Amino acid sequence: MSDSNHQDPYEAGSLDELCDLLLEEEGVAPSESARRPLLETLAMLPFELESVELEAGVKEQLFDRIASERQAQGSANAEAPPTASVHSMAEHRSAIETSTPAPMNAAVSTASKPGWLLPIAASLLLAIGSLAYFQRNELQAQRAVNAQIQSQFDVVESKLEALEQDRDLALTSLAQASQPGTEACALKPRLASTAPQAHGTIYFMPEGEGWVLSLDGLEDVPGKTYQLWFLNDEAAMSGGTFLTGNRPYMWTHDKMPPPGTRGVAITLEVEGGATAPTGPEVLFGDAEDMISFL
Amino acid sequence: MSTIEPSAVRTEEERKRRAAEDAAALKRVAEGDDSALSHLYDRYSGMLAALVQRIVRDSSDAEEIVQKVFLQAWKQADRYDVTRSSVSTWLVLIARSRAIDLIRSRKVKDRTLEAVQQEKKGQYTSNEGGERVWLDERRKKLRAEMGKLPVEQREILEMAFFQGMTQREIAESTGTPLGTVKTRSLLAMKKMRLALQDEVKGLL
Repeated sequence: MSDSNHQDPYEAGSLDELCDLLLEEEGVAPSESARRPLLETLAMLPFELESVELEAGVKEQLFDRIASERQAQGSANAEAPPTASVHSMAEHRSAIETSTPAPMNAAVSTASKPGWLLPIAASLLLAIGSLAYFQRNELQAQRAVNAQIQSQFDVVESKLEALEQDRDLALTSLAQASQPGTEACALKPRLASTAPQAHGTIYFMPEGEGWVLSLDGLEDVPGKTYQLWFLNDEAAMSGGTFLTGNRPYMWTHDKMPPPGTRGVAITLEVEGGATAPTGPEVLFGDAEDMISFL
Repeated sequence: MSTIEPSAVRTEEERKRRAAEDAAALKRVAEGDDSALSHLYDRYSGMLAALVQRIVRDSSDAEEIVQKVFLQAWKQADRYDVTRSSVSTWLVLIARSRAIDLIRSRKVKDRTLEAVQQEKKGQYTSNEGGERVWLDERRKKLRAEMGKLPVEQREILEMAFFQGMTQREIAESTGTPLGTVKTRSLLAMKKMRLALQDEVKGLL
């Protein structure tokens, strides 16, 4: 049962990556709602395949499995709390007694049999009942422990997955940023920056291959988004919005900044971004020396 | 590549109706109605089996996984969120994820294109004539649209979808620069989005 319950049905892995690629290119902050139409589009791909006929037995087996799981769940739900279980034990004993084969019943009820048989039978039933009660409690405790371990495992697994994604992105970005001919522009906090500890670098890759943004120390602010700007003498062009997830952040883009870019800035804007910088400037980098490059 | 027959063009209302029908069926599944699950099984098991078979390339594994998909749907029907995806996408994502998990556990690194060439022609699971026509029409449309994509763009999309490969893995596997893989993915995604926008509208 755990093999399916721990899986997130919305797990899309590499499809999320595909969606985010398009969203980032269009300057839309990746989010579940922004991804949805793209995921729906991708999820149509299997409809292109010829349907495969499954044996009729597969469906029957499915409903058999459901019936047995339902039965198992029913039994588990029927397990009453300890106080009530004394009562159910008695009922259980009663059920056992009533279903006891005839010869034993006869032995219990026959007056001609020795009188000590009845107390011994009752003691035995009580002992069996107590043992069953003990085992059921043990089982419940074990189930609770298992559920706790499973939930811890799920948390660790999702963290590991996030770390792996970060690592993959970092490796890719590093490979791109370390190409010969790459120019680096340091991003530093302004005096009035809301994030004085933040710092970063934007790498411009040669031959128009794009840029890699690497940031550290930028904490997300609820209801706000960070926005990247390329500045020239007259205007600021948006490079897109992003959230850091309160982790070191890397962003790779395969287009160059607009020609004439002389500076790079990161501001804090309202969710969805702005058409021109309005929020506080968090980081700034002087790209003046890269005029010929850009 | 086949063209789309005028009669095959379904209205947005019909697509919406089907999506709402699916969501209602899943709600009934959550309430314990097995006939609703049976209805979803009849509607989607053939497509899901094709998807899984395409990924794992083994019909007995495909049967087992499809069973597990519907078992999971039965168990987690109450967790389905209509604002997050349509039912068909929800089922596709579950099936895809399970099938990819299986090939990863087997450490199988297959070639998607080869799988396409070896794909077996099957039949329909559903006995409902209307269902068959609907699936047939959708298949024709998908094939027509996917057929318009250049091979290299289509290949990348299929590697990401059917093999769960990341952009970096695709770049390594095909020996193509990562930037090129990303550009091709972007172009493919944009074309697909444009081509299937009417279909998707019916699901949102």
